[in-house]
Amino acid sequence: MWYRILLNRLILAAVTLLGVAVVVFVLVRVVPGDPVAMMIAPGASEADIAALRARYGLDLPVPQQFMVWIKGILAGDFGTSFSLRQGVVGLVLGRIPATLELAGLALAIATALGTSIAVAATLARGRWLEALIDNVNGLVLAVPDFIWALVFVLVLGVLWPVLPISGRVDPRLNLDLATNFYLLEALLTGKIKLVGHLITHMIMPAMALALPLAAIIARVMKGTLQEAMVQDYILLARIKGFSRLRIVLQEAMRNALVPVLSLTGVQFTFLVGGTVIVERIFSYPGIGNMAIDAVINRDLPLIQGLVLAFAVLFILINLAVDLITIVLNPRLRHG
Amino acid sequence: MRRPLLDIEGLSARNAAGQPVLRGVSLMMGPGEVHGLVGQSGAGKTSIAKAILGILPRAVTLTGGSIRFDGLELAGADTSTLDKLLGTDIALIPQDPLTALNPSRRIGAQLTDALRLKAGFSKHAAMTKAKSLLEEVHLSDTARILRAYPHELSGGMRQRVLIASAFALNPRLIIADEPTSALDVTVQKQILRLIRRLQRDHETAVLFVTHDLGVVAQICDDVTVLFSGAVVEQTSVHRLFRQPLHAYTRALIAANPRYDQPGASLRPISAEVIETTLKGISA
Repeated sequence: MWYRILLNRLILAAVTLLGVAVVVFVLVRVVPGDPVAMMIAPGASEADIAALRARYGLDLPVPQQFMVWIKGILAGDFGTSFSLRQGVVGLVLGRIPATLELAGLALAIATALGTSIAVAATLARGRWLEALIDNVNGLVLAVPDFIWALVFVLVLGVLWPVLPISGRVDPRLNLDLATNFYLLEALLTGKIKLVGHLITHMIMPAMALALPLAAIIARVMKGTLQEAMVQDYILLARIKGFSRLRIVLQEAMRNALVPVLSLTGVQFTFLVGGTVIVERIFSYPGIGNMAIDAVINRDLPLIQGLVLAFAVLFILINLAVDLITIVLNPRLRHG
Repeated sequence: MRRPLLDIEGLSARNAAGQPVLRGVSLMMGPGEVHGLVGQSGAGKTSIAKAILGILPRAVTLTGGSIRFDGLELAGADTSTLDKLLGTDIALIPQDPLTALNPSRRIGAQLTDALRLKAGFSKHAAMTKAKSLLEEVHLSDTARILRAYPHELSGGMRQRVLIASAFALNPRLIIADEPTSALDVTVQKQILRLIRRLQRDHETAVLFVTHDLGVVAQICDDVTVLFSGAVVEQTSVHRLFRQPLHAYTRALIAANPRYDQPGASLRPISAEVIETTLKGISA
């Protein structure tokens, strides 16, 4: 049954990616802005412009350009960046680890924070603490990630400068790492000092991305937890004399988790989308930051490659959510 | 009677609207006795059970009386006092086996958690004990059941699991809250017999909440008949059916379907009986 789900998803993913490819390809060619104009020095002759246009295949009709691009992709070649003069694959793969680590850290923070808040609010049911949590949560929910990013920069970077406000690592630092997954590799090889260094750079963008998601997780999980808390099996657990905290974590959490999980999956894709602007604010070298540069430079192949990378990421996130849902809900396993 | 195990005296409770839910209910149970608590829905049977377990809904407040379990006051007791008793000395067999088991935890985990937490069993010892508990409630293929999720078992099997769970730590008092009303008739009989046998083997006192006098006749020693939160009659089961004293009890008996007399018509409880009973209570 696992392989059937996977096969299904694979076919669906292929169709989705083709759709995304068509849309982004047409879109970047329809919007105003000529990539060739960005590449060439002012005052170039018509002949020079035409020659450059022909060199990048931009003189062909759009459907034909598309076929050339797709053929290249099937052969593993996503084209060459106009602005950086390097292969798109290498550029994107080199930057993806930075974004994945940032988004992963943000997700971990959001999950931990959201879950703790939801459990605390459930335990505080009917007391003033519950009202306080609800109100603060509502406030956090209303503030978008980039506002948090600016607030953090202002408070912790400028007014009380305790954290670095830019980049992933100190450029003077001599990194001795084999992969671009700096944080993961540092963790796995036990370079505790480097982990700390990376975290000080990542914590502000990660918190900015995490806070809205944490608030959503907290709100939804509190609802599902309270729904679970009135079930008969919870009552029976209370009659077994278990503590409230144990009942919430052991009996209610798992049943409350399924709706939260599917929502977190959707929201996490928004979080990944949010990396674009937040990475920009913190000059964090991920694919989001790269995407903004690519758009400014009218770097068509790079834009297309980055959009496809985001699409693959979203598909993988959704697949992971579905698989985890099946693991959590035993009734779905024999479907 | 020996020293009472459960001694409820003058227990009164009101709901949020100020209406009485319980009106001075008194009830006494010795160790190892089976006491039936009968009445129509809304008579206060379940409120008494919940008051003992400390799980009355927020809207219902106790206004007087006492609940002593082996001399210890439970009415208004703090959570830690209750938590020590619940599960070990007092257990519950719930009404609906379909909703009383956690759908996402294996039977084995749900059956062993009290053993491990409240009685300090090791994981392995708890599993062995769980197996023998399942055998005691006549479930075979225990290894499979311990690994199963609730949705993989039938209603009757789940109720057996819950009964095994209630008897797990050999409590002195079990509250059975209409444990057969969600099951079909053939399974009901087996479950009743099972509770009766386990109760005798373990010498457990059982407070049996039910609206079914047939069930009372099968399983109980004594019975308390409730009406609108008040005790209208309290006697032995034997006497209850032979010479019911109260008009309401007589009406209740007449309204009970008898499977041994098919075709016999049922007599609904008349408004007159209800009215005179109500008057008697408020007087």
